[in-house]
Amino acid sequence: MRHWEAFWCIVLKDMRTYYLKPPNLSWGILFPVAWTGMFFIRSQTPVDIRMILPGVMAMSILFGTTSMLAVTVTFERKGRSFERLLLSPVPLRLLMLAKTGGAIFFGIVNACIPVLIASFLIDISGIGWAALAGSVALIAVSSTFLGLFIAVSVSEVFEAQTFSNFFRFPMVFLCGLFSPWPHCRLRSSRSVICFPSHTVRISCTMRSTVRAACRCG
Amino acid sequence: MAIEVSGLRKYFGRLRAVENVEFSVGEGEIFGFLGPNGAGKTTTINMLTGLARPDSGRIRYFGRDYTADIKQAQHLMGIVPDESNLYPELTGRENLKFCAALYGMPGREREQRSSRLLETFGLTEAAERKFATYSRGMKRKLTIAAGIIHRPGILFLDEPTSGIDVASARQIRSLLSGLNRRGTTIFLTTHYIEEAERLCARIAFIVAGRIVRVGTLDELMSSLEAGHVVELLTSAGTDQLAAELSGEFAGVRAETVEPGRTRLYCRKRLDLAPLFGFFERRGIEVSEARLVRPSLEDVFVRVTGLEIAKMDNGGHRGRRG
Ligand SMILES: Nc1ncnc2c1ncn2[C@@H]1O[C@H](COP(=O)(O)OP(=O)(O)O)[C@@H](O)[C@H]1O
Ligand SMILES: [Mg+2]
Repeated sequence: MRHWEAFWCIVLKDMRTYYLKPPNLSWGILFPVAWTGMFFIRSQTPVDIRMILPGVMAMSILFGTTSMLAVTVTFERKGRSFERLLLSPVPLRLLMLAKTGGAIFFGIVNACIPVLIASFLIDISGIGWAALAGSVALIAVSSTFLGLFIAVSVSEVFEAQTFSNFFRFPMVFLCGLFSPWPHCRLRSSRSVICFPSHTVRISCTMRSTVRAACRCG
Repeated sequence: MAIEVSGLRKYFGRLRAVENVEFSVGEGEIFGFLGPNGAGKTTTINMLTGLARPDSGRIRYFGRDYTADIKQAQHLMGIVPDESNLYPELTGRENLKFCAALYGMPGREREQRSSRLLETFGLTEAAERKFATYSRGMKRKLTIAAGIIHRPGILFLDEPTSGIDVASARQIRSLLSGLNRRGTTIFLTTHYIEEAERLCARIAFIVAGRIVRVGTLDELMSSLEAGHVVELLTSAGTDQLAAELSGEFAGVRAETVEPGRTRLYCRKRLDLAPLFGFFERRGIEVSEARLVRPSLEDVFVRVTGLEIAKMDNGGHRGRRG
């Protein structure tokens, strides 16, 4: 397929040119690292880290994917290079898949940062990796589309970052990292971040349960 | 016909950008859209290339109707927008290779074609530099190279030489002529009359969203009311004299350009002997008489009623109602 060639070129170019762009670097990479470090240092016991890990991972993905789209879509729309993509014969759906693909992958990579840091601090055996991967992918996809929604509705990169924060910061509170109250969790289970972060939590803490569930599914 | 357009219309709210635009471009032709800023040139190109959706109208390429799905025709066309839209953080070569990939060109061919075009456009030395560091002229050239990387049958260019230096503009014009000789159909917009005159086989005048006249250069010239213009340099000459001239010679309109310089407009060839007699009787000496070919500029001014000096500053705006 001729168009897949274009697809890969778009994904690879976005990865190469935008992963290390300043807005992405600060919001997508430095922020999750600082954030993860902050939580881990504060946690007193290994059990604690295991409890916090899912929320931290989910936040890393959310911040990573939304800032990535602010660059790949908003930045290119401003510089008009996005028009070049629209003018090419690549079908629109494939084009959007390519633009979001880079961000989804970036989100997944971001999710690995907290796990990597945690692996130095605690014993991470016992995690249901398959379920974890599935949940991470789910968060990455859903938060990428949230990012896309934001990226197409503004015209400047900083606006995209600011606008994203309206969604991102409330989610920090809703995902159960700070507030373990039951009613809050209940309400938050509808937010993009919470439902998957619960599944990540389950996969991290109850390997055998998830395995059984996977077999049944 | 490479391009056939009929009844094209686009409003932005109440603002009329393009209204009932109709024209066709033959295969291998260079067709020019000439009009002041804000006339609707870019809007027309955007509709033809699929960036904007027309309110109504039909668009056909090579005999097939693509109005409902321009995407299907996008592999046929190369597009060079008015402002370079390549990636600033990629080098010249990377930009070309990326564009080639968008059109499904395989890896090896991408490499070869990019090198070829960099050479043709004199950009080989700058090939490994980031696009952001290029001068305006270089940027425009690379954008054109990117536009033709997939060897399109039709090339759209929006104001290809506006805002760049004279030498680059000349180089671009000669590159475009070369492309056209090798068979590419070219549709370009410009607000430079001279550019349209030099490059285009056929020209459409567009003002306030409407095409006011289309034709070959010759057709446009001959459409001018005064087919022949004679300019006389005389020892004296006033508006009074011009009025007398117009009165004495049927079908001749005289106009004093400045004291001592009179222009005569008429449809038929002008017999000079009676003219000289007219001046002799009044004791006025005629030092020079020459035939002035009307320029495209004269035609444009006459047809559109616009002054050339106004071409650059915002132009006309049409409003509905
Ligand atoms: N996206 C838009 N929204 C509103 N008005 C627009 C838009 N694009 C163009 N226009 C208006 O449409 C008219 C034609 O513009 P344009 O096609 O860019 O002219 P040209 O390219 O001939 O200079 C102008 O009055 C311009 O202000
Ligand atoms: Mg324009």
